[in-house]
Amino acid sequence: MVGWVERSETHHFRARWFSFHFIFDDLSTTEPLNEKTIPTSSRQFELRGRPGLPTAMLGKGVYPPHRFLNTEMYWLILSLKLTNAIVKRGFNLKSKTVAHILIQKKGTIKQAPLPKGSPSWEDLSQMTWEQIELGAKENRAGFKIVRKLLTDKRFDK
Amino acid sequence: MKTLIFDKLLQFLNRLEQEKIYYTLSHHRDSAIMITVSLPGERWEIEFLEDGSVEVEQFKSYGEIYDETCLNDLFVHVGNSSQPFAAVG
Repeated sequence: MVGWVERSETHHFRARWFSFHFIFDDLSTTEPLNEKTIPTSSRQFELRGRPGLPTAMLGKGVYPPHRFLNTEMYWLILSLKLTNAIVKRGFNLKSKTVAHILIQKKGTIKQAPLPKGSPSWEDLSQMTWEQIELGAKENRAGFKIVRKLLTDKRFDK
Repeated sequence: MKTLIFDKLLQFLNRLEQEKIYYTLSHHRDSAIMITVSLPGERWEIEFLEDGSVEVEQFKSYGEIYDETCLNDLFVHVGNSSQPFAAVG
């Protein structure tokens, strides 16, 4: 899952307003994410407006590019754009196992030849990203190439 | 350290140009800039990393030129494609 949306409604100035909270999981943790574990910054957005009216705006002060879009439509487009942006930006590898990182990568990276003495992909899958980095720093066989393969965006799904 | 690696990168690019070695610059990893150097029968991927280190991977040709039937192997290699590749024209 890349993220989720929470919808809430409030009554203000005799009108019904709703808010969409976009909370995107950048996969920086394997723990279930909530507002405490996700710093706001670029990962949390709020879209507010009155149903059916082109009054959508983002909590961060960014207005929709097309004023004739109604809020629901804008929400759809925005969620697609943000999902795409987050997928393109990549994700944080910290504390992840290789198996978890591999989910985001093309399976073919396992076909890349590894030098003699490298651990097998099966063993590597159990390791954390930190162990891969340490192995690469210590110049252990195969760890630098594995680090490269796991971070190279050409091999993202 | 970051300035040092930038200097090193520029120095390296200037050297490649001096020697008239063909290269392209690209960015495939968040913390690295890649220079792909093309030599006859060889490609070198040289990455200057944010931490000041440099990583080099070499790719060498088998010395053979294949015909278009080989393109099928490409798609077989990348996975589950059983469809043969048909060249246009």
